[in-house]
Amino acid sequence: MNRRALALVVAAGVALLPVLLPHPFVLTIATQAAIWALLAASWDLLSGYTGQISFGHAGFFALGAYAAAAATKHAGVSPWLGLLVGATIAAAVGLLAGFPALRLRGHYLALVTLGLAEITRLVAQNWLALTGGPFGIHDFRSFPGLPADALAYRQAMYLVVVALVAVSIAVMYHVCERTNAGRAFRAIREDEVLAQTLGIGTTRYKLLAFTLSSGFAGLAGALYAYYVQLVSPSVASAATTSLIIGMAVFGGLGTLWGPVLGALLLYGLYEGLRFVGVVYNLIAVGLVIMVFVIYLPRGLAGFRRSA
Amino acid sequence: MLELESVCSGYGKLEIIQSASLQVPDGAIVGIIGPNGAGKSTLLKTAFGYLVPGAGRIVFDGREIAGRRPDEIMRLGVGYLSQAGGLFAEMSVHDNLVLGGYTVSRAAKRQAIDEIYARFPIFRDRRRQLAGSLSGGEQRLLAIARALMVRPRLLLLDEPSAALAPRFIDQVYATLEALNRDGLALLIVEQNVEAILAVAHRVFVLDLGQNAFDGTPAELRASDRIRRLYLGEDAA
Amino acid sequence: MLESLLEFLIQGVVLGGLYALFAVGLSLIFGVLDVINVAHGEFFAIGGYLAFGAVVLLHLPGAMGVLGAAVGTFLLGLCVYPLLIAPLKRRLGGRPQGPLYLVLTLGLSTFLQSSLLAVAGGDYRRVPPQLTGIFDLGVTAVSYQRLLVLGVAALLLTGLFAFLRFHPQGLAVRAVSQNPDAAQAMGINLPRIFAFTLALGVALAGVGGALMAPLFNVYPAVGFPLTIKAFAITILGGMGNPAGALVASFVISIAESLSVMVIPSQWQNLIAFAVMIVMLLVRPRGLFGRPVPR
Repeated sequence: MNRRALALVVAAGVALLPVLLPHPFVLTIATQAAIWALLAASWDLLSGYTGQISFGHAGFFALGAYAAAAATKHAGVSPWLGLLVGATIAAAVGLLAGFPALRLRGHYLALVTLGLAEITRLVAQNWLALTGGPFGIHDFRSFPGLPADALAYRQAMYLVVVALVAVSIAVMYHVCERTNAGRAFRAIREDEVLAQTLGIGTTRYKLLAFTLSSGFAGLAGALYAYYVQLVSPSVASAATTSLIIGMAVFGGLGTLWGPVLGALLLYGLYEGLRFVGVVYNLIAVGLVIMVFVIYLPRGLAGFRRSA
Repeated sequence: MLELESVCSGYGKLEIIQSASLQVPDGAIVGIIGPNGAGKSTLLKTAFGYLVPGAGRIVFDGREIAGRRPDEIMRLGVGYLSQAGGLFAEMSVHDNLVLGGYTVSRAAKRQAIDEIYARFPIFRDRRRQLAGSLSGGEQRLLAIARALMVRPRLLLLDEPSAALAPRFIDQVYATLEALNRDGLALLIVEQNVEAILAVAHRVFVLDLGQNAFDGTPAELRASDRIRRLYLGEDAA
Repeated sequence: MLESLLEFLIQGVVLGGLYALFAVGLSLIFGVLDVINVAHGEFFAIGGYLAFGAVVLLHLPGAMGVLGAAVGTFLLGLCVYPLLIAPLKRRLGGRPQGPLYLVLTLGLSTFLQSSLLAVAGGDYRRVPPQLTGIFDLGVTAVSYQRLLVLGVAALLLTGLFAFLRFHPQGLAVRAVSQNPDAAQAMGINLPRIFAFTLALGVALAGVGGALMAPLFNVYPAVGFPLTIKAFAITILGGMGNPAGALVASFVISIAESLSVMVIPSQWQNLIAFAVMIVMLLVRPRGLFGRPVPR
């Protein structure tokens, strides 16, 4: 079966899922998995493709979620516009975060992003007026025009989320694989000094990577906000970052589709294990991260290349 | 004493040494020369265990040492002086020497240090000074002194003359020759061809990761081709 | 005004002892292994659980709890290098890939924390203090337990620095942190030093966990907030410089404590991160660290 046919089958399956398996639980997991897929892909753009390993993506996710929720709740902004608000604010902060990143490498960069995410979480937890403190923001409306019926609502929500996620991933894929920017990203990852001597504007492209990556993470956050209809400080926790990194490592850094697949599978595993007992699912994530980083660095994507 | 046979080595996928062989007889001074990138340092590092050879044998005193760790090889009586000096720059002269004697007892350490201070009074006077603040030549001598703490039978030296003023080069080589007269074998990688040709018993020429020639310094100088390619046009 | 200042100063110093136990170990591990141990906090938690097990479940005296925590975390720490870090090193060869080790220890952190959750449950465990009572200093009162933490921290850290300075093995540890290749040429067994140093670093955190258990209560995630704060502290002091981490611990703890006079207390935690970010932008090597390669 060639790639085109496979892609079409997958796309059809994804699109028809709400009809094929109209079970609320399945749809819930599928919708959230899609959001995680977008989040993992956005991380991969920055850390996998451009080699700027960020430990702070939970922060951009949270920024998008809080910005969207606050905009809708306090300013009455329509959720469709709220998505844009979330993405834009996250992208703006990402751009700002990109500046210090220009000068830092390796673990120092990871730590500064971790610090920023932690600050985001602390602000979320303590700035009552803006963020509702530990209880977060709730009581804000979701996308207008969706059916009222419980099942139909979920089906429609699934379609909305998946459509936006698919478009976003497609955009990121196009940038990473088919444009000069993507080539620049990879050059920066492989050998930044060499890239500079070759005349590649590493500053510009690094900032671009940060902006795009955080913007899409913010979009994921906004989608999450409108889907779950509750935003609390826990979205900016280290567990979120851990999950994102686990998904990307599992799927294979620097491939974009790898982290997407990793997110879908790992989230499925995570939720599936919840049946066995809530406590065990993160153990699996931790094990996956360790085993894959050591022995299977190319993740699932590595299997395909050797096939 | 030391024999490398058809050794292949490199860094990951990058193979630097395709197949190199050399022998160091007991108590001899053997030199390795060749153009930049020929793999001289790589070969030395492989002999001491910093790199694992992809193929070939490395035998010291009849024992196969290929693939062993540097600290294991060191305990067999081999010392190593890296090109950058390998001193602990942030530690004192004395502490550097103490570390040189890491593998021996306190008593042996004390005796060895006393002997070293006797041989190199300058270090006794400066023993509290940070190793990194010594001059280039002094650092090189300290590295040699430190290696002597455990009475090795073979010393591997990677470009001992590098970045040294001629005065210090003479001093270093005079010290090495004296040590050799006491029975210490030396395997020296050198860029400074004159310095090594003056003292070596045998010289191996390495080019593009392979043996190009070997012989006594006289034999090397006698060959027009070798003189032209490796010794510089106007070598004596 | 002066009374308040003194009160907060003292509280800050007492807190600094705990921070120091944490940050010095973390910095030591980085200095020698070049690895940032994201799972450091989990050893703190494990220390707390070991103390809980010894004192509450086995009815042993409090001191045994602390000793058990030290030994237990040390032994567990010995496994980390050979099982996790060494295999990754083998695959990566000599190429520096700092963030990958960070990801590895992040995985370890997730694994340990959720394992603790699975094995011990999420409930807060109460451990009785090793010392009861309050020490009245006039301007402020400090519980004997907190003073114990400071005292033990002072003792252990003095011992550690003495070990590093005077003991031949301590010299070897310092040699490895300065120049691993040269250290090998001296006959130093690198894997052994790596494993030992890591175990030593996390054991300090484990002791901290056992001593703080009565004050923080014990639950799986108890160590994580400290870990990230410890990152900030070690960056301030200079990553890889344990003495710098020691100084930075007190700088941060006193700053946090004094800050309560000017900002609401829930924002205290922000100070450490703000300092870290500023340091990373202005002087990544921290106050006392070696220059950072660009």
